[in-house]
Order: sequence, then C-alpha cells, then structure tokens
Amino acid sequence: MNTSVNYQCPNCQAPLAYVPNEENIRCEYCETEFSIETLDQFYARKQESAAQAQAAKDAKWDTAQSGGKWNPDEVQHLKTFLCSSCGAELTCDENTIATECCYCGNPAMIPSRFNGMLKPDFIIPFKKTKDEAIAALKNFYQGKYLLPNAFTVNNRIEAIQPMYVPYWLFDSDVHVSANFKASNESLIDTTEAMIRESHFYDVKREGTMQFKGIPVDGSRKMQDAWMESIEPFDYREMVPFKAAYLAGYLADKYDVDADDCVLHADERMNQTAANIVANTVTGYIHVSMENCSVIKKKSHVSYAMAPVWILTTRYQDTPYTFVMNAQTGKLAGKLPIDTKKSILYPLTIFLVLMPCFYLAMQILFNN
Amino acid sequence: MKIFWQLVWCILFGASSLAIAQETRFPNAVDTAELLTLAELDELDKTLKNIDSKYQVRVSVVTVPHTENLSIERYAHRLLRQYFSNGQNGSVLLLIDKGSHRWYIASDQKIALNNNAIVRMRNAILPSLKRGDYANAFRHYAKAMDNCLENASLSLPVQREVVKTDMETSKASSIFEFNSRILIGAAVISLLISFFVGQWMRRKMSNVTSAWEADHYFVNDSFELTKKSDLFLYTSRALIPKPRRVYPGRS
Repeated sequence: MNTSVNYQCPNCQAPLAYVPNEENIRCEYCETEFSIETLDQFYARKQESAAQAQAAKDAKWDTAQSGGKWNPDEVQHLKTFLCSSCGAELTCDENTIATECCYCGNPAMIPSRFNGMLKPDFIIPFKKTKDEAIAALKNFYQGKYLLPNAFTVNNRIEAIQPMYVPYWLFDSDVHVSANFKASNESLIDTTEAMIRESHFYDVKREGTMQFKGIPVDGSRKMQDAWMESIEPFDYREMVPFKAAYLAGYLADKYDVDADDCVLHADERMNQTAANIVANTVTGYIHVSMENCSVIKKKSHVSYAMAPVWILTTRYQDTPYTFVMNAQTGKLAGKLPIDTKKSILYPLTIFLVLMPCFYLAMQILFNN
Repeated sequence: MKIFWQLVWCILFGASSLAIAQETRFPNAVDTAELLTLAELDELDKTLKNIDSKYQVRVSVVTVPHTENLSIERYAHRLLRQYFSNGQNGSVLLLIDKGSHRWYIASDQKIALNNNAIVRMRNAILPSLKRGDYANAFRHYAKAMDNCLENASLSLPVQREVVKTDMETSKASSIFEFNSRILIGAAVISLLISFFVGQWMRRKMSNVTSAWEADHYFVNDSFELTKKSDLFLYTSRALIPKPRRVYPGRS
C-alpha cells in the first residue's frame, strides 16, 4: 500500500526544504511562507486522505448474498417446455425465462433457463396497463415541434411488450471523507493601488450516509441509458419474488452479473456522496474538491425484477423503441426529427425577431 | 476651450458638477471647436440672444471637436437636456461636430421641428458649411430660425421629427435611416435566439439520458457530518495599480 506523501508547497507544489534555525518554512520558488505547525497538520491530513483513498479502493460490495436458490417446488411449478395450450415449441433468445406463445398467446415459462441462475430477491409488480402505455406514448408526442407529421398521422405501434427486466440493487452505509481547497478574498484600498488578499484554506469534511437500492440493470439487451431514463422505481411497492408474478409477461434473466455492475453503482454513489459533503463547505468564495474517498462500511446487493413496457414503432423503415416504467408511467425514448422543420422553425423565428430587434435598437440608440 | 472642458467636466462628474453648471447659464453660442473668431462668436451670441428674448425660445449653436465616442444625436440631446434646455417656449440646439463633419439639430419636448423646418435650416446652412464659412452658416441659421419662429412653423403641435444631414453629402434622412451596424447587431441577437430555440426543440425530441448520480437512492436524513476542520494555509497578495486620473487644467 503506497500512502507516502512528499512535502511540497501547497501553493505551487515545489519541493519544500527546512532551513535550520528558521521558525517558518519558505518556498524558494513562490516565496510563500508557512508555519511548521501548519505544514505538519496539512501533511498529516494528506496522509490520512491517502490512507482513506486506499481503504475506499479496497472496500468491496457484498455481492455474494444477492439472489437466492430456486426450490424444487418452484421449478416444478414452472415446468413447461412446450406451450401447454397449443403444444407449439416456444422460441426465444437464451436469456428469456418467461414469454407468451406466439401462436395462441398463452403465457409460458422456460424452466431450463433457471438452471444455475440466481432466484430474484424481489419483484416490483406491473401497475400500468397496455392502454396506459399507449396513452403515455401518444402523450409523449405532444409538444414535439420537430416531429414529422407522417410519424403521427400514419403511426402504428408495431409491438407492445410487457417485460420484467433484471436489476441489481445496491444498498450501502458509507463513510465519506473529502478535502477541499478553499479561499476567500479581501480588497484593501490604498492611495496608490488596490491590494487583493487571497486567504487559502485546506478544508476537510467527513461524514456518514446511507444509500438504498441504487439500480443497475443486469441485461445487456436493455440499454443502460434507456433504463436509467425511466428511474426511479418506488421500492415501497417491491415485494419478495414469487414466480407467479412472471405469468403473462416476458422476463429476462440477468446476463451481466452483480460484480460487473459495481463500477457504475460506485460512480453514481460517489458522485452523490461528494455533492452532499461539498454542500457543507460554506463561507468561502472559491471551493474546489481536491479528493474524495467513499468507504463502504456495510453493503448489500439484491437481485430484483422491475416491470417495463417496451413499445416499438416504425418510421421510414427505421424502428423507434420507447420504454415505460410500468410502475410509475415514466416514458423514455428518442423521436425522429423532421429536417425541414428543424430548419424552418428557427429560420421563421430569426425572420420575425430580426426586424423587431432592428426597430427596437434604432429607437433605443437614437434616443 | 474653457467652456469645452467645463462641459466635459460636467458630463464626467455627474450630479455635483451638474448643479454648478446649472447655476451658470451658458452663452447661446459656444465654439469649443474654434471655428469662429471672437468677434464672430460675440455677434452670433447676440443674434441668438435676440431671438431668445423675442420668442422666449432658446436657440443655441455649439461646435465641438468630437463627440467623445457618442453618436452625434445622443451627444446633441445630452447637451440640450443638461445645459441649453431652459427656454420658456422651448429650446433648439444646433451641434456641429468638427471631427466627423456632421451636424444635428436637437429640440426639446416643448417645440416641434417638422420636416419643412429642417429642410429650410439645411438649405440655409449647407452651402456655407460646405465652403467652410462657418460664421456665415450660423448667420443664415439664425435668420432661418427667426423666420420659422415668426411664422410659427416650428411650434405647430406636429409629431416631433429630427433630421440629421452629413455636411459633405448633404443627404437628409430620418432617425429610421438604414444603419448597417444596428442591422448586424439585430441579426446576431436574432440568430443566437433562433439557434438556442432550435437546440431546445431538438433536445425535446429525446429524453434518454444516462444517470451519473444516485440522489434518488440517498436515504433522507441519513447524513451525519462527523468531522469538520478548516486549516488556514497561507495568504497571497496581489497589487492592482490604480489608473492615474488626469484632471483638466492641471499639468
């Protein structure tokens, strides 16, 4: 573990050297003077920060406890290889654990896909219906000035699929330690010149906080940005997993395991933790964060299934996909842009505004 | 020159100087650009004062070497408002900018200058101005003004309209004449606004964004600040020299 700290000038980072019999240490390069006591304290804090950074790096999420094992009764309950209604063979990709028969529409599960995988800890049941998903999509089109007219006039939703998406939920109690460089300024007015004094401080803040259920989707098929756009889910309605909830819906098993998701969970948690701690640094004109260490004291990872409506429509042979949080109704997607409108609208605004500004400025400057 | 510096002083040092200046009634003819001889200046002043007492309209002529980076319109109105606006029935100021060879007639709210009046003034002064015969130009101006006031053609309650004319080109135009600088300014502002509105419309077409924070998953009230320490390190000083003030009349 490398926690060594070199003695450098806090102002210009040049090496500092102690001169015998001197009370203060003076930087030979920028001529800033520091008391020995201040430097001792400053570097003691630096060493502490370096040690905390290493500890934060070493702290791991406890992913071993995420998910559970399927019991034989549940596996037996799911036992269907062929459609129980019409006998057709079910066709789907290798991650699908629940689907519906493409011939008769009968909900079906594929138990062989559960082999070797973890059983989800929790599930958030579907709350929004298919009609609500369609209404949300229509509502999403409102106020989109650059949407091609043909897109809405001839719009036909190609596919609407209800799907349970696998999520890893990260809980943690963390200890945050951050160092900031802060400064205040004062102006002294003399007859010959103004003197601007800048007072520099090393500011340290430490604290503890809790995070619950930071979600990272465990499916490669679902794009992370799409899934993050429909957050948050209301965890108060989350219930212990029961396979029965999957009936009638598509469901994917995870294909990105929890260990591969910790990096993104850490990024999100660290950013929020740093912001919260930074808000406690007050009374300075300039504040910049030097370093921030977030150490996980207690952590837990859960495996959950979250409900999503996936709507697909097509325009000029290009598919457009929208996802809706089937619990809260929040919809995310990307609409096509009409090139003509994207030129015409700003051009019209320009042509209307220019004469108005011209006249207003003429009157203003001539008076 | 003394009066010129007094004017500059008043403009620069605002209210206190303004109070002093208001106590002093400036002559009706002020020649800071030194276009007239003293005798010509005296004669012009007397002529303008006669008009003043005859119609209770303060008619002034001011010449300046430059307008201190202001447009001649603004400069003329500022001078009129601050130093030459105390005519009982109104005030009219003819400003000559020697540097840019431009002239401008400004009037206050009590008096209206219609197009006919302006054309008469222009016809009266332009031929002499073109020859550089300023004394004669001002003499003709005073005469034309006297005639206009006598015929009451200035005091008609018509819509106030002021015209400026370039001395050398002698083209008349209204304040709504084409100004390329203003057009460019208006075009730039409109372009920026339309660009930002266009970008806003584009951004509305997608609400897909990655999440880089976990604010929704922070447990409220769980934050406890356990250490708070602010260590003073050092002070740095920077000198900002003050610009030296140059006072008129001082060496």
